[in-house]
Amino acid sequence: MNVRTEPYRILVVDDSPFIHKAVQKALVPEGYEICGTGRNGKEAIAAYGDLQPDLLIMDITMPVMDGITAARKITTEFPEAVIMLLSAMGDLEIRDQALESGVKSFATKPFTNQELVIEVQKLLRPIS
Amino acid sequence: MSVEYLTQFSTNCIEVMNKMTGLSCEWQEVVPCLPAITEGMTVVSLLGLTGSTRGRVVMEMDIRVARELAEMMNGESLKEMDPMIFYSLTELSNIFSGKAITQLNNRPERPGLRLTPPNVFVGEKIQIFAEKATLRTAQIRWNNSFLYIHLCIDERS
Repeated sequence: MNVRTEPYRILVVDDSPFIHKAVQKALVPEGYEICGTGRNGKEAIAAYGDLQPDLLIMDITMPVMDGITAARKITTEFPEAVIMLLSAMGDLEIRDQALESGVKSFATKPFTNQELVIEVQKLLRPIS
Repeated sequence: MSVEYLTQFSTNCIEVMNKMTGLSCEWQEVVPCLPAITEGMTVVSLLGLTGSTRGRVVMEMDIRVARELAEMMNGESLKEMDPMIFYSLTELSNIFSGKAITQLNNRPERPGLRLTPPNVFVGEKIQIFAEKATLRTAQIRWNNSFLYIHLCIDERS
């Protein structure tokens, strides 16, 4: 059995640098690596292709391009992409659109460090 | 405009602030003072409401309160006018507004509300609303600090 020893690489895309910092504070002490950040859906698409992260954590409501549109484009090109949408908006219509876009997880803001770690661990197996 | 909207935004603001900072706050509706022109150095975060109802959600506070809140949200002290103060507060307004909109949208009438990304303004004597604006205002209080949430709905929507 292959045992992973390298840290998982996570790309964080949110228009708020506050969220970049909050995600970093929650995940880096747990052994994850933040390999890049972006501030809108277009940047997410470009960075995903360049960085090929293990997980993309992305907001929905962003300028230039929203997270659902970006997720749809990324999963079309990279069907194996693991994407978590992290948003304050979570009504039934948005959740349906998110699931149709191919994302693997939908989490809501605000989050505690522990809540975010648990959500990430559901998608990425713990490193031994 | 229904007072339910103001209640939804205010209660969500209190819940989100409690989760992000540990603060216990109270709110009450207050009579708006129009035209709304800020006094002293003020931080204003503005979000647009779109969908079936159009309007604006505005969070307003003075710079001392802005720094105090942002430091609690970040768990560290921040320099005066540190950009993280403003990033933090735009995110606070985005989160409580998003939660309020979500709850309104999940009601049986499904109003289909959406939010535009927040914009932040910092300065003195910012005119937020004109004399004839139709708005409801809530004051959120904790200890000796407070902020305001203003809701302005376009009645033609």
